[in-house]
Amino acid sequence: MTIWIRVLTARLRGLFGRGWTGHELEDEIELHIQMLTDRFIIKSMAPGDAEAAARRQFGNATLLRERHYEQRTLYIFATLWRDLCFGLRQLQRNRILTFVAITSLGLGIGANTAIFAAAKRVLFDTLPVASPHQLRMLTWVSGQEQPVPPVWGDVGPNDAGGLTGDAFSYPVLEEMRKRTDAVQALIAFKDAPMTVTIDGHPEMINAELISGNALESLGVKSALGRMLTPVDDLAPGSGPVVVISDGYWTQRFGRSPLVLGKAISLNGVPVTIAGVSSGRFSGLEMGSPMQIFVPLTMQPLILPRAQSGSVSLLDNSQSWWVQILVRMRPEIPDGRAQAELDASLRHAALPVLKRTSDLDRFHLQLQPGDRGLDYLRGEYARPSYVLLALAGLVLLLACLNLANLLLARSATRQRELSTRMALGASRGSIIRQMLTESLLLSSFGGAAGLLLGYLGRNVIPRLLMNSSGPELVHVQFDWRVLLFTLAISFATGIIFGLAPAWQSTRIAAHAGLRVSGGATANRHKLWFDKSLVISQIALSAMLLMGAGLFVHTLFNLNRIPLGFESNHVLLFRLRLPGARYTDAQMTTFFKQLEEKLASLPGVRSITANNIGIIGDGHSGSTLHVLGRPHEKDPARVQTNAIGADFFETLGIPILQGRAFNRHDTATSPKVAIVNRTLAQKFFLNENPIGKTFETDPEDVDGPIQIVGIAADTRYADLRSETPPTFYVPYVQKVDGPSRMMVELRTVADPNSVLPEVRGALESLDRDLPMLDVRTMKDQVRSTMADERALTQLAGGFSVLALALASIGIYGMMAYAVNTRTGEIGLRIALGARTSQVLARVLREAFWLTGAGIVLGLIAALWLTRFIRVMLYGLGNTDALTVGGTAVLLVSVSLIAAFAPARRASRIDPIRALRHD
Amino acid sequence: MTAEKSEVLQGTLDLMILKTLHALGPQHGFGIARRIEQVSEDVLTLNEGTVYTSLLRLQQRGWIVAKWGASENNRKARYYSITKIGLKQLAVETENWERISGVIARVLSLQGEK
Repeated sequence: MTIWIRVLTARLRGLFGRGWTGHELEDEIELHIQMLTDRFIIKSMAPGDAEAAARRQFGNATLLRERHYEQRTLYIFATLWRDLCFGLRQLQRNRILTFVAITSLGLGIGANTAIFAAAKRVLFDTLPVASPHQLRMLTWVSGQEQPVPPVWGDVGPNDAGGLTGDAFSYPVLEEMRKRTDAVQALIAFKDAPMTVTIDGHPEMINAELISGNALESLGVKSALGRMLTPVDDLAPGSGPVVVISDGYWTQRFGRSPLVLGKAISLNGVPVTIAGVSSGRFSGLEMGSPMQIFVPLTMQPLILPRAQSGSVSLLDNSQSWWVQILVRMRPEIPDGRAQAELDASLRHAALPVLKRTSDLDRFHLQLQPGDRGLDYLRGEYARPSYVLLALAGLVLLLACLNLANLLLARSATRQRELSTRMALGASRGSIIRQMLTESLLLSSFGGAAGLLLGYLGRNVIPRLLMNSSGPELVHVQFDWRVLLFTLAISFATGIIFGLAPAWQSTRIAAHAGLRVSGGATANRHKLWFDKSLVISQIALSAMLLMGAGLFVHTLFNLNRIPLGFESNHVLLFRLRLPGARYTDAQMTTFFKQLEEKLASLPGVRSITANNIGIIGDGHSGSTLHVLGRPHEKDPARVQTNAIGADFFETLGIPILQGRAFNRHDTATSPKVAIVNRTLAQKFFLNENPIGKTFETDPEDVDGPIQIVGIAADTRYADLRSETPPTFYVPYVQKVDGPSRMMVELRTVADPNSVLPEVRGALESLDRDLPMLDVRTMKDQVRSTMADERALTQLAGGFSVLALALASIGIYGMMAYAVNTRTGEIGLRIALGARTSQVLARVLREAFWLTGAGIVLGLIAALWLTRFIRVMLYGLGNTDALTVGGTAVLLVSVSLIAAFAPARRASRIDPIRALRHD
Repeated sequence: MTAEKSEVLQGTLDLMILKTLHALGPQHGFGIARRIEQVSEDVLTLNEGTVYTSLLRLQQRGWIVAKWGASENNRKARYYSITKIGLKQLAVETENWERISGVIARVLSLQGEK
């Protein structure tokens, strides 16, 4: 060990005192040879012969100097430095190659970096809390019939054929809290949008109600002031304090320390800001940043939900609304903790559950909680993978291009390399030097790519932003992204520099020094080059196919008949806070709003409805036709609570019966209009008009009579077939219209009436902000955001791919023509016509391209299955796209090959043969 | 093959140089080469220049030190002498060598019995 250290230090010293020791050695060698010479002279040899003999006995002095030099310094650094300088000089000399290589690599790596940064958020990132892997999300599972009372939250089918949901009632939560031995901590939360009024200005924010112990258990520190404590969460209003997030503090308050103790109002309830959370923590819903954190027990004051006489959900076992995250004890396995919590759940819940036939299937299930409430992954996982794949293909293409360029250039350096090897350079050292060059190129490309990726980091999320989906914001550029870029650059340089380097040294020594062109000797290289070009074409074909499929899908989506008129309609959303409006006041508000807005010039008609007709999610309900037997599994239909002028405003024709009118009020008999699909499903051979049905009593109470049939429209999104839907007047619903979408049909451009609309709204309620203001056309477009994003990206990548592939073909053909100059000259001399030579070269390009296209299309068709769900309206093998791809690629390659082909046909046979 | 031979030779050359310096005291490269030539009775024919590579190795390991001085003919020469740890290394190497050659001798005599 100590020997090693001594050697190392000696070598380090040698590295920096290089020149000096070299001279010492020279002196020693000179002396030694002199003394040898003297000895031979003494043995009576002639001086000239003596010296020659001395040198012979001494041995190869040059080699000695080399070995000595190698030994006494850290040789590796010296050669590395030399290789680096040489490499840089080479790059400077071949500017075109350097430029093309760095640009294409930069684009490829940049695209990958940007997409990786976004995809990381969707696929890998965890909540910025302490030990996220200890967290589990509580969910319940059941049989097919939902035993839990209607849930304010998500319920959906699970893989076992039953239902699963993530909302629990407060009494159940309190029961589970007693089980402190099973888990370390129980964190309860509920996310809800709220209106916050700061200094008299109202705005909508996302707030998270959380239990008092939450911030502490999650390890969230305070940047200012204090965090919420269990004391704040004892009883409603016991601690009217809130904590704001760091992001909100920066964005809204400019990080001013004055926020501490500031009095604001949340949904009309006065609260004080007690502190600011530090770091990136912004709530427990992945991807959706929360601005304000409120103690959970503030619910009755801030989010009152009138139910069975009380607005508080804290003691209501019939209302299931709160999400629960638990921090596991490391020593207790998941199975045991789940079993214990399950026992608590069933104990607390069974008395209130609906008596379904399979209550024994009702259990607790632990799900991973390191991402909290995760809507991002479901929504964006597939597009992320697709984008990563596309970007990967482009990078591969750029790398192949790099290999191609390096190969072409090493062909021109053949003589230099052969000379070197003849002079004694080892193959390893030459390969090392060429690898250094390719690593230099890939490093510059990587740096360029990093910059590009950073600049474009928000392009992907913006492209993918959907109106109804969760938002993919805050793409972080952290060390993992950097590592990713570094890794790719390095790998690229090595993998795609190695093959050309190795290839060029293979034939270097003997063949390269031959004066003649030596077409035969380069056959290997030609084959390698050909396979590179074929691969490039294949990758381009794959990218073009992808782009083509998305374009076709987008085209099909755009042509779907909506069922309503999307021109000249302005939309916006309003949320009336339950703290300031009773149900009756809500109805009055909308009645007044409708009257005010209808009277504006430029507004043809106005309506308000529960959910937007498209891009706004679903609103489902049950339907039971009176007079028919109850079904075990009541059918689910979609529903919308609408205003009187709904059909007129949206341009939906009424096929039979009548629309709603002023006579349908809260006190008049309950009526409904069904769409044609529902009519056909439930009343196949009868006239639905006049029949009565009932639905969920929480929605509409009592029998409802059908008074009209409306035409079918798309519902929620463009792709799904129209579901059976019924419409009821919102005045006849049990709940007041707290969350409504308002639609205005305008005479001219919808945006032109915006100022007047704002004025009208303000005259009714100054504290009510307008949300999501947009035109119907924009709304429709936003439902296709994913497809459009992918189309644009795939399209962009394809253009890049085509550019790279054509460079590849051009280079390949030019090289082939170059090396076969002799052969072509001979043919021309023997009588070949110009056109024949031209055709020959073009034909070769054509076959190369053909091979590439076939390979690429086969791969693409096989890969299509993974994106099948994202496509729309295409057959199994979209002939149009396939044909288009082939034609495009062939044309591009023929054009690229044209210049070399023409040069070949213009070869002067005399000069060509003489050159040989 | 040449690489192997030179490596083996390198190791034994180190040993020989150490021994030479130990026996003859401070020497310059030429003197060391003469001594080796003498002792090996010309059986070991090597390029004399390789002595210097060995000398560098031994220097780097701290087993010998070098000093400039005057040669017999008053020419500037570099004299090498063995150090204390060099002496220790010499003892270790000698013991190793004797052990190994003993083992090999026994193995070879074993083969003869068959």
